[in-house]
Amino acid sequence: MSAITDSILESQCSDKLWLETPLIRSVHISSLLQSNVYLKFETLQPSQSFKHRGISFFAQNALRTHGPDVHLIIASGGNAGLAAACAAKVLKLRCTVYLPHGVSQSTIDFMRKEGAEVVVAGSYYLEALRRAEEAVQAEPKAVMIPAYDDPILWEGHSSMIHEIQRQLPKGTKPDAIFCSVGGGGLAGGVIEGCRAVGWDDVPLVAVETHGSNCFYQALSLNEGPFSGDVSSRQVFEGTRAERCHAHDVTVAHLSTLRSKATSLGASSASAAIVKKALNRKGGVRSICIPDEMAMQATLRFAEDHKTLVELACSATLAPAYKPSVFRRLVPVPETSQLATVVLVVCGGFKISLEDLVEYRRAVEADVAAGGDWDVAYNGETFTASKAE
Amino acid sequence: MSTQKAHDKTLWIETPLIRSTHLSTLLHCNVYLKLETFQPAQSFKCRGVSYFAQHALRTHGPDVHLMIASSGNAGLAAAHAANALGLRCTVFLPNGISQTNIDTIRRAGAEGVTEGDYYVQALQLARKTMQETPNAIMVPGYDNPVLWEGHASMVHEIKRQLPQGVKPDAVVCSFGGGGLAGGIIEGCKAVGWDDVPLVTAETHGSNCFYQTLSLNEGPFAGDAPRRSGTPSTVAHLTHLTSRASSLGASSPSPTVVRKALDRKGGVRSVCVTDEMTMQAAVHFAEDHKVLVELACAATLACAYNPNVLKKVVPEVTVGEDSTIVLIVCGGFKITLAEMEEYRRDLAADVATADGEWKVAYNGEMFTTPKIA
Repeated sequence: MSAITDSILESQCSDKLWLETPLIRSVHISSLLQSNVYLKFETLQPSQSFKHRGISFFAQNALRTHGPDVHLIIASGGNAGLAAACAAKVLKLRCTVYLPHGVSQSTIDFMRKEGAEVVVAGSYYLEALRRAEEAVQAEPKAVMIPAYDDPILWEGHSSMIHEIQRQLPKGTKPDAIFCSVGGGGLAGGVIEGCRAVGWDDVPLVAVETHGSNCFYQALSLNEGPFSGDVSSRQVFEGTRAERCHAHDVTVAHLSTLRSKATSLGASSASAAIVKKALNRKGGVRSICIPDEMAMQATLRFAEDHKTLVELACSATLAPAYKPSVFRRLVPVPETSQLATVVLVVCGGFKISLEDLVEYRRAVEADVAAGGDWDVAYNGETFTASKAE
Repeated sequence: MSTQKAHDKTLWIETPLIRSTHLSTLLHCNVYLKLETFQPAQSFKCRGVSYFAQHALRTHGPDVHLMIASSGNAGLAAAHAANALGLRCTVFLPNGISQTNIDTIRRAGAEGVTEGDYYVQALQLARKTMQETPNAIMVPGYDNPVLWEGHASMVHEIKRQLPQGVKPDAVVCSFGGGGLAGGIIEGCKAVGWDDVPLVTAETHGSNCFYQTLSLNEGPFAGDAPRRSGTPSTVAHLTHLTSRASSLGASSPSPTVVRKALDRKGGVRSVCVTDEMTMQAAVHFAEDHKVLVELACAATLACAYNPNVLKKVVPEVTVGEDSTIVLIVCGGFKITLAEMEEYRRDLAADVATADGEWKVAYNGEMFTTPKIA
């Protein structure tokens, strides 16, 4: 290759493909919680979610290792696939996204606009994944982009924390960082990033929904922050516990995912990330909320911040919109200073105005039905007022 | 914060410049969005207004009391700036501003006073109060060089953020009283972009700039009507009928009009229907997950209707390497309920027998098919 081609390739491999996103102090949420609450707006990434970081980093790595003929393949219901398509387009690489049947036409169109080939295969994600794996086996130049369980992905995602450190007022260390957990890729990035910048002792609040909580369930099967003796804890119905010897940790395999926050949709969390979460100095505070509480947060966030986010993303915002829940997760600091908290607004493109109309109806019906919402937190449950 | 630091610290943020896949595909060129919605007060007003506030602190000291008449965005920007600088701020709002919006302004640390049915009455009270209050200074709405200098920061950012060496084939912005346009014109001049075409977007029911241009020698088709010896003749509108209420100026800044007429890149003045702004706001929310006010969506309407862009910036149809920059100026007063209203009203309008929207451009009218 010529010197010019070499240098183009070099810069394609080294120039980052993600955007440094804004870190905005939320006036609304800060005043609600009497704290300094910062929002990291990953919605502004080229593919509208944080996935752009790790996946574009992985794609660049694939280009460096395998050359410009590498064929990127990914199985995804949405955000990871779109991130792969966007990255491949910039790097001028071939990319094929395997999607299960039932994915919306607008999802398919968006990926095609980014230049990806789209194959609709299988009635659910695991089938699409199997087809993608077959394609990778059949083609020497093909590389599978992992969904969440890979250190290269976490390294890419961790760039977010370096940015946050630079963007917070000088010398400020957060009292907690909140993020949603699907399979644990984002949490992995947050954990690795914190370690890299000297924040290993910063508490991580990991948020899921009751119907899609593989991480919470995994934590409950291990010695750690959960209350009570691990031997007395029950495996959830429909879940299979499995010992992962490589990482010396027990993981949970969920047979069904019932949550409407479909982008969380992983049947098991990354064993490596579960281990890292248990081992880190700042620990992990694992919380599960009902779908309706996430829907309510989606609506409030749209009114306050004029931004539409998926349910999987607003799960992170939900505890911040309920002061009584927030206080359990982030106690008032002993010093007279206000707590500083960072919420990772992870984004996602699969949210529409019509969805918000549906959420408003669902929340109104749920509130009218009376009662409180159940919240699970590190092995215990408590209630949160629907109206708060 | 010490007075020294308060002067120097920038109170607005460098906002993202995003290339829009959806609009770039639709228009076959590179469409970039400057997302001013992420400013602390959720609109571009933060730039010029906080710059003015810092200037006031410098010239009048830390006891200066900022006053502003506003129907929302400028007031919120002033409240944020005053709060950051430790200054007192009073926002005079016309009645009819929703309680939620008043609360937002108060939560940002300003005193809110409501007066009169229209902005003009709130402005009168603001002026009267200013005269009676020691060390009070009026923050201007749009007609002030310090404001434009603050807003111009946006163009410096855009130049840095575009791929190296790329010069836009057009910049599109909404025009209320001309504060934003003033900033863009000054910014363009400063970075060597005086020859970059500027497209200004208004609505038919709130188009003081378009009407003013039609009274002057310039880009408009046909002869300008006879005028008196003023440097530029300015239109004063008595009624503003558009739902894009944040455009709501009854007359534009004469200085900005002059600058627009005199600049090398010229000015291309477009008026769209309210329904076109609704269509753009709805599509923008679906495509980019951001809610904007109708005033802001006037700019987006020029892009979401390819016919409009083709007509107004014909240079762009030539090749895929063209670049246009849309200023997404923002605004905090948009709600989900309004978005639902817009979806309904748009659907009803598209369903009517008359299938075309009227667009005005530099003195000529054309039509574009209604699209949902």
